[in-house]
Amino acid sequence: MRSSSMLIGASLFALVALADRLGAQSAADWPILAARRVVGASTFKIFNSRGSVRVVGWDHDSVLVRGRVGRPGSFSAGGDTLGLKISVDDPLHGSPPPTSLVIFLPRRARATIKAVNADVDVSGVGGWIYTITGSTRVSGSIGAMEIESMRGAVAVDARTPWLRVRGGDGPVVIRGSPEDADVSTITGSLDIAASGVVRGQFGSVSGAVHFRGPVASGGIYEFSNHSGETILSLAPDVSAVLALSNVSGRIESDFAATRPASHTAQSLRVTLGHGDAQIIVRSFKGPIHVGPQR
Amino acid sequence: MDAEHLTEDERQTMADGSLTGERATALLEHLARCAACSSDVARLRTIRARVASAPTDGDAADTAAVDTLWPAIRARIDQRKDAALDARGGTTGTAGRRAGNRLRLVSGLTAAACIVAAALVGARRIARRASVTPQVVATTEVADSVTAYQQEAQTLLDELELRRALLRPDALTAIDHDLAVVDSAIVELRAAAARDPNNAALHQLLASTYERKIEILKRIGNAG
Repeated sequence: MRSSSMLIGASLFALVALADRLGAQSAADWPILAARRVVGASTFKIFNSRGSVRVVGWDHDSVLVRGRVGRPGSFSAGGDTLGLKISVDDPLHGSPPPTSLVIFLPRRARATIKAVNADVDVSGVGGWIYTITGSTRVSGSIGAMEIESMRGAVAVDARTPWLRVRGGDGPVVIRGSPEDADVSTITGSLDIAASGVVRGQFGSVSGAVHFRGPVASGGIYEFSNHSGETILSLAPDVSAVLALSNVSGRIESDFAATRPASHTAQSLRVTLGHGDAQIIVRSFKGPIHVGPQR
Repeated sequence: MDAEHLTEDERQTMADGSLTGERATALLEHLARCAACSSDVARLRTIRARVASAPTDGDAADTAAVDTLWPAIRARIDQRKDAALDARGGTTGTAGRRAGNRLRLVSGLTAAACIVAAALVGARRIARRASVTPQVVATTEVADSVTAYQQEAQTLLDELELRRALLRPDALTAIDHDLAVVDSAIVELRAAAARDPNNAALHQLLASTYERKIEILKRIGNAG
């Protein structure tokens, strides 16, 4: 189960990377739809319901939009040097042809992106992303980022001070170095293998939650799950206090050499190393498994 | 008194002196140790004293007491009403009422955010406490969070019904599916909590599941 989750995560990144490369090759030939000088810390509102949106942070105080517009006349861009609203008009019902956009923004800008079925790819810019079924990919060194996706896959591989992801049914994969991460899904799996997480809240209702990676000294990590499995693969020399509780599911620990401070059928409390970090796991009936990384 | 801070109810009963016996002794011991609770109880006693001593015919002292309390009360009322009160306490007139209709959803979501934030603070405080001393978690405080979430979820469900016809079909399908999953979990958690009412971890899971439900419902603001 653990290896299959890793495989799904790796596949997701590979597919997105492939699509990224194909998109980048063709995007340079797309016509320029809008270009404007802006100040560095501008705010950009971007709406494209179908197709794709690719946002790239660059080191210029200007915005450039290239794209292929599915329905003539549906693209618009308006604003001033403080920000721009870039949108593709879309009726509430029906399926207009998809529009693909590539938008270059100053790195210090904040992007607010709303999509429906469009795939969203952001690198080097922080902000807020909302999709229903489209996939979301975030990478690079960015400001604070918030992502809401009802059904799409979410893949984050970024350095950011603050990350918040609310997934739904799609898989969520977290890599990179989000310092403060608050990530949850409804039924989708959640796979975290990120370094540099100091405060982490990870949860799901019925999706599997897998955590691998280093635990920061003084870090606080909370996991909650209702019926999905929660698997923590920690460094063999991890220094943390683990407090695990499960209302009706099982708790398993492969840190066999360490005697627990307390252990009942529904809870396990154990100190590993000097106990520098706190790891709390709560589940209703999904199994909890902790063990050293192999 | 093992809990980190007194509950609101305990603070009120200590302020009005209605609690006696061993329980009161335990709370007094906590107040002697905890500056935050002690300060809050003292503040409550001061307010009670001012209200009790204020003349009934409304003089300057009475007005001052009202002036002190009114901004906070007005802010809370404004969050829950259609049109904001002006500085003198009147409504903003016809334009305000029209704006109120448009702002109905916004004010509902704002109130939602406040309640969720308050509930989150409580739940996280409990979570931190549980990690240190799991046996002494104040279950009642988590239960308060659950109640706040329940109320907020109902408000947002009402909004969902109002906006259902305006939502994109795929968004509506996703919201309905996710709500069904979360509601199923809540049913299981509530049944377990009824069997084991003192299980703090159970109440924390229930609170976090309600939090998920509210997050789903708050997405309706973006799904149009």
